[in-house]
Amino acid sequence: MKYAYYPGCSVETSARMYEASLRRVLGRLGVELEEIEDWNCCGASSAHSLDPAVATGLAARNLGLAEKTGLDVVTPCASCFFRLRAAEHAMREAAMREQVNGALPVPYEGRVRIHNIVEVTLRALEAAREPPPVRRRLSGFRPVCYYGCLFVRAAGDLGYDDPENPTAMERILRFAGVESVDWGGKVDCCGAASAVTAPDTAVRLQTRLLDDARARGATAIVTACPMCQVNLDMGQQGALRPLPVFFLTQVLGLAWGFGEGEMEVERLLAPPDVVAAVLG
Amino acid sequence: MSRRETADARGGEGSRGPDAVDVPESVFLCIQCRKCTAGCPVAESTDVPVNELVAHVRLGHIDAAVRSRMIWDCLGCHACSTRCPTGAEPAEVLDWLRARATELDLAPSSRAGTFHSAFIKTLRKKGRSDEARLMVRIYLKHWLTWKELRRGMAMRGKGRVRALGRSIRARRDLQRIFDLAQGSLDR
Ligand code: SF4
Ligand code: SF4
Repeated sequence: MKYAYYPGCSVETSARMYEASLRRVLGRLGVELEEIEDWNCCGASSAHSLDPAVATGLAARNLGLAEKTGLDVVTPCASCFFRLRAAEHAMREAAMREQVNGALPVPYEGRVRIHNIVEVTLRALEAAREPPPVRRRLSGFRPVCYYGCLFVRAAGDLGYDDPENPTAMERILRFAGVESVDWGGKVDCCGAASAVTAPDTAVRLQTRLLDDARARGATAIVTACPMCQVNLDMGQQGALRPLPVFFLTQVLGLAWGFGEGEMEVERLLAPPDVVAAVLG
Repeated sequence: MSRRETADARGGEGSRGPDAVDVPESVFLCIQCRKCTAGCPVAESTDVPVNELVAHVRLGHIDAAVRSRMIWDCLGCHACSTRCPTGAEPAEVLDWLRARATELDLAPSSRAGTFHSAFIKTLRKKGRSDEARLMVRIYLKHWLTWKELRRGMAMRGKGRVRALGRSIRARRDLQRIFDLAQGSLDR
């Protein structure tokens, strides 16, 4: 399977270890990624609050570029997934399509499907005749799967999961020999930009999530959303016993025999001894 | 989103009084069930809950709505729109209100207001958003707490703060896309 890859801005910086791990893990699954040539920021988290045509245009420029390649799009970022899907829907309206296409270098004709990395990973695993063998037993690893808001709330039918009680990441982790802990925070908000704009709000929301995860006996958090990872990782910086926050693809990679260096585990803010202890 | 002229509160259905304005048509689907507010992560800490904002817009009380703190407290999580049983699209109504507020130059001088304008500035110039640059723009205007400084340094120590400073190649495309704006995006 080959996709047009839309990385999004945060995997280049604060979520670098996501990019490093997902490329290897998807490669192992035979999923090829062709980065969209000269892609631009999808506009999250501000453009849609300022002007609908600009927001649609920013996202749709990428869709037009992807369409030219004849491939469907995959993105690892929840916010980007949400914005690209929103634009794809907005462009179904004739007036919007006409207005926006007039400003795009490559007009978008409406033939691109947009997927996220959780979906692509799950489908590849389910379709694999022989999923990658588990090489490293993460015996003590008891994570909660944290979906956050926007992966499950994008426009259109999710297709692979239930938006209120998603289970795709739990199903994926079983392919890594990891049993996750069920909990109530799966689709609750991590505070998003409030980590910067209204720190009290972020602390309140994150404390609720972390308390619930701990109360269920979880030792770590696994997420696929770059903003959730950054928020929860930074929010716990300096805490005595933080719950380390891993990207889904890092955990898969470790279980399938990639090294901790290759999965860039050292980029987590949680202290190395805590990380080592939870991986077991 | 389609728009419809509101009934002016003073003039009754269909008449165009001083408050009448084209609002997102979805607000007329709202039945005030409050399911949006029940799942809203900032409902307990804000001024006007999201269901009331939808009601304000529906009644044409745009002025009250654009001045609420809630439109900037909103985290954009879309729990409200996902759970709304009637398709009133409260999250999109909030997008619309933020756009109106920006047009009217009512974006607050708080961190939230700075965040949105700084984000747009970087994006407009580079075509990519650059977290490092964004943070600097915000912290030029607002004091940094000791904790935030320490976290920033920790991220930097892990190689996770990089000012890429890179633009997309086709910067002309950005100008044309931003020209689609009806209101002013510069304020
Ligand atoms: S916007 Fe939707 S969820 Fe909120 S009160 Fe109205 S109908 Fe109910
Ligand atoms: S999008 Fe905004 S208004 Fe809606 S639930 Fe989230 S924070 Fe509340």
